[in-house]
Amino acid sequence: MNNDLLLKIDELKVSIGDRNILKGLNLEINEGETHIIMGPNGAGKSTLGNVLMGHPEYKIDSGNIYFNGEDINGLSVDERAKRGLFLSFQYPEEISGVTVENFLRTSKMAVTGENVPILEFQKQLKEKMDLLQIPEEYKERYLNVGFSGGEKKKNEILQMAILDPKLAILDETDSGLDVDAIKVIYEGIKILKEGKKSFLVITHYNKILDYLAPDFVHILVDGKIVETGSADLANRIEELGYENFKK
Amino acid sequence: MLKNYRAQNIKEYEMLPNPYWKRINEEILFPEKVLDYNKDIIAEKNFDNVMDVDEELCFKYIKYLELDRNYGLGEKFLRFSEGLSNTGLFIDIEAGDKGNRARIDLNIDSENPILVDHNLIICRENSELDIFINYEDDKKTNGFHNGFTKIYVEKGAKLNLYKIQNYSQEIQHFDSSVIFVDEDAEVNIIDVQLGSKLKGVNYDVGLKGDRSFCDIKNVYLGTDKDKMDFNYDINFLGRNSKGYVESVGALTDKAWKVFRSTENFIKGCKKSEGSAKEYVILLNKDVKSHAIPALFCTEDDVIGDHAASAGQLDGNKMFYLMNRGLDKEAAKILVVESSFVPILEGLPEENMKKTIINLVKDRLGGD
Repeated sequence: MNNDLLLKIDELKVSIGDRNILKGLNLEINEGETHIIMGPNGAGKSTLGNVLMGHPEYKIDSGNIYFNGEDINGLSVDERAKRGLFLSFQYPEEISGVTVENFLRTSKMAVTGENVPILEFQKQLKEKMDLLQIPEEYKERYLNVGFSGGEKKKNEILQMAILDPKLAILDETDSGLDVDAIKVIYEGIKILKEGKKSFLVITHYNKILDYLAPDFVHILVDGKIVETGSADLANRIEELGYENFKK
Repeated sequence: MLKNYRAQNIKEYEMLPNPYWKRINEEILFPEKVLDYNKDIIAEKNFDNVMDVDEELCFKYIKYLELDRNYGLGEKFLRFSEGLSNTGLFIDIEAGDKGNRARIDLNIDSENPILVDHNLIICRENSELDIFINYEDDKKTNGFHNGFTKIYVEKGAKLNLYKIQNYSQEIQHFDSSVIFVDEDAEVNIIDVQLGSKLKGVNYDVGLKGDRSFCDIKNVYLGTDKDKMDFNYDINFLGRNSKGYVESVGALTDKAWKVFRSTENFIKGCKKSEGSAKEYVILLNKDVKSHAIPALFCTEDDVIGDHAASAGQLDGNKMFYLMNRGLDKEAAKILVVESSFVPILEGLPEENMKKTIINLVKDRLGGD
């Protein structure tokens, strides 16, 4: 495999129950690249994110997922996280009784397998919270409990910033947010997009193009990528919709 | 008088058959002989009026000791403590005396394997008392504990009671409490039940006075083949009285639990309000969980509700946590911790919460 190749999805077919969702999907992401997946409702965009992270409800019928050259089809969710995959949830879970700070430190130690000294961690947390304009008192609040939609999404990006994955999958991080919240989140991502970090951004909107310059835009329709192009492709979608891509 | 009081109770105890708890399919066997208990149970206190039980004291307090009906886990348990107790305390807080605090250790070890306590707590008018009771053992003694505590909280008084039971699986644990709450008086209880292979816990509260208040919160854990029976009864008698029960637990392995709670609104308790809620996380398909909430009402101007729910581990929550690098066991423990913490937040000291969370992690096999 190519040294730069981070993720390779090969003829992936996935079902949930008796419903086929992904029907032979191919995708390659190199280190440092940003890919955008766009598509109509029900095309399989969120399924792709969940399957990459190993959600147990989805069944891989055929095909393979390679991450850093390793076939990860058989790996548990946490093992994938430890290898550098991260999924930002469309609907983040609320975990009462566990503060944002404690959860993030626990996660950081779980992902890296190393102890994270508390002072060093607090410094890092403050930096990232400032970047995402999250008030400091949020670190003492229970994870996502009582958070608005925008706060939950910001918290997802905060987690991404702390855990520092190799590939971040952002599942409709911009949905349900007002323009100001989208701006803060995408500007945060823009700053966090450094070095070899790669992104797979699942979105309905091309607003992201104002902040992130994607290397590729893919159109996902009925479980398959039907077209791949540059940022211009997203603009065409804005003008023409998905009808032209449906066979 | 003590001799008569105890002798009469022993006589009644001996005539009673061993209870059979059909819900958990268990006959309760009592020790053949109650040995002396030679440990001091008061670990810490900042007031003087704590008394060891003697004949004169029982005579003085007889009207508080003799109850109008049977309360608690059942007659056999009550008579056992009243007749054969080998330790116990009478606490009588004077009217208006505030800031009182005591820590009591009801511990079991190889020298003291049988612990039978009989206690009386009286908080006189407008007094305040915080009591912490810890239950520990040496983790190697096959032991037995039965306790019976009678509590009177008089007009305007406030009692906070915190119990943390962390016995090993070698211990059987039975605990009955009857609590009478007068006008404008308040009782807050946090009862944490982590250990013991066979346990029965019973609270019977009488909200006698107008605007009386009682809040009982319970956290429990069942592992291995633990069997447990929890019962929380609140009787609403005074007007505008408020009584709440909230229980949160987790069961794993082959643990077996029964939760009962009865809200009894008695005619005349107008404008009273009560609720009983139980939520249990089932960590394993082999556990058994019974919830029996009940509501009786002979007064129409009240608000009462109850709810009980049992759920497997939330798959989406587990997926979310594992996404952040936590393995299945760590994620499971975090979900349990997350359900316990809102109740443990009510403990007055942060380190108590941390200690309990660590005990839960240990018992569930975490780091």
